[in-house]
Amino acid sequence: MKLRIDKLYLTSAFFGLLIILFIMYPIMNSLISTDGRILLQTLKDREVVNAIWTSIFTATVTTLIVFVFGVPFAYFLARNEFRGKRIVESIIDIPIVIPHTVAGIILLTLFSRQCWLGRLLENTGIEVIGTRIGIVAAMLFVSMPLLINAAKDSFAAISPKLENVSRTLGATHLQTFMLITFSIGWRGILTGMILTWARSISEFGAVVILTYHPMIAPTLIFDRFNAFGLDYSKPVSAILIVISLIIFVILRVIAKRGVQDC
Amino acid sequence: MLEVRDLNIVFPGFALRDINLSINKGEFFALLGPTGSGKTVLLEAIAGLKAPARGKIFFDGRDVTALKPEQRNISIVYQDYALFPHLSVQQNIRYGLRFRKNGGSAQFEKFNLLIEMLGIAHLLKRYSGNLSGGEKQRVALARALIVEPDILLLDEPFSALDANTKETVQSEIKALRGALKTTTLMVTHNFSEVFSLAERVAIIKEGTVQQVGSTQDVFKTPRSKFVAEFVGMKNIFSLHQTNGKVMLGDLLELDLRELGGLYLSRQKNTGNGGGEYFIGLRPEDIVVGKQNLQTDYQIQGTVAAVSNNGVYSEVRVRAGRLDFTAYLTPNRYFELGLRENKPVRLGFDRKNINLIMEKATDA
Repeated sequence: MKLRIDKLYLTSAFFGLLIILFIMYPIMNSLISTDGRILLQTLKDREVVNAIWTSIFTATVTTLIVFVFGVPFAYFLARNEFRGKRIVESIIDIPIVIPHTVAGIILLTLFSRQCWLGRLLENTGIEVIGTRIGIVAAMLFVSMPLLINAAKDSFAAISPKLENVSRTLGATHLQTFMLITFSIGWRGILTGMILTWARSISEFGAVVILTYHPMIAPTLIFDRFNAFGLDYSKPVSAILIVISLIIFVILRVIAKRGVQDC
Repeated sequence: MLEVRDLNIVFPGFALRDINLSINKGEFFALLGPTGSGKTVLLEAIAGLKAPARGKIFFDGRDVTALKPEQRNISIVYQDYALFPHLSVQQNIRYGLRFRKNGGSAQFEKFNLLIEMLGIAHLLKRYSGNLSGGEKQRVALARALIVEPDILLLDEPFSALDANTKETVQSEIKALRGALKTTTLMVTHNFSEVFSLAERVAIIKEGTVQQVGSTQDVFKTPRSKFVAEFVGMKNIFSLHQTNGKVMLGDLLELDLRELGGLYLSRQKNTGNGGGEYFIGLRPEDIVVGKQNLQTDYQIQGTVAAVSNNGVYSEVRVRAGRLDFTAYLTPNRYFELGLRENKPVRLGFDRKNINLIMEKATDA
């Protein structure tokens, strides 16, 4: 039997292959071309370990903060129509279109002594610029839309009738949200959390302006590249890639398993 | 008893206006109306899921208008069943029990009774994604009834079911109602469902109730042209008077006696500005034959069209400028050997004529 090949699919698949190569080849090349001796040295380097830990810690804190504030807000947006809703949704998306260095500049302005908020925080003893709080603030600003939008889409896909039935069966609004809406929509929320975490851990532009020290991994890579060149920045990159990929894959597997369970 | 008093709900582009309904304890009541008439909104307002702009809702004399849905003890079954996809059938059915303080053994007995009556014991471990429409419907019913609601709300419960399953589920609902005596309010656009299940019915159109009454009454004596059409009264003709006689088209003088007297006196009092009068005849009340018929009125006509759906035949007869529709049994249809464009007689009795007055503003 002659095999029929759809030319459109064939072309599309070829383009897909190019895209996959474009993503994977630089990553694999970077991992393979890293000098093993320098990689081992880098793993023992206290500064590298601290930077990677700071990246993971701040990205995780950022994700949790967006989860606490963003998920209820996403639920509100998914379930309510009101005048100005489009404007509110557009505001949430603004950080996506602002260049991240610009985001860093506007946050620096906000938290500096030039602004009342910066002065207020300083007077209450809270330092933002040059601290982990600054890192989290920068990460929050750039990554927040991802979780909010993912959670909103996830909630919107759940029929309000399920909630109505739950309410009439005796569950309060909060119980209904926890037992029905969140329980069904958690996969979408988890996907949003993964994206938020990934966006946060890869953030550089906004963070470097607000907080150069303590360094996160991307800042350290930039610092080493400037100071010592490509050979000494590559191992840090390789370690960050591996750690990020491991966490990313674990979370994706959890999300996927959730889909199969339901 | 459920009482809805002067209920008004307003949405952009739609409003329920001055709804008044009274549903007796244990009664099966139906809300019948076309799509977009506001039936589901009314149902959700009764359940506490939509807030009224004005008006009150009472359960057994108790004002529940301000109560939250979870405080009303009402269950709702939606057209698409709204089963919780992340829970098994058993978890779905038992969902409402976790919010109840009833005794465990009573709940256990109730659970067993429902799954036995609905024949869903073999489905308990399955998830909604693996159930047929009829199975989902049964699970949704069990979930709604296990909490022993004061009122069961059914939103178009049969519209997604095939004819056979629909018939079976209707029988099951009848049996459940016989056993549980739950006050039930069903929303539908299908009069045959109302006829099969409900004791009384309210017809709703564009957010207002048009007529309330026993199913038989509304079926036989619709009070408006809309209701008449909606309950399948296919022969609705405008009346006029010529020389003091009540005329149907230009071919038949109707001796309507009481009805005719009423018609003539109203025409005299209000003139044409007061509204328009119609008569309505159910298609099954029209007799079709080839010779003289034993009916109060007879008209000679021509067969305009015939269709057969396997259960009954629908015959359209043109008489003058009027088109009559009659239903015949298949046997009668074959016995008469009706053919298009062939002459035929049709007849009807005075008792089956329904006089309808349509207000001028509605006409």
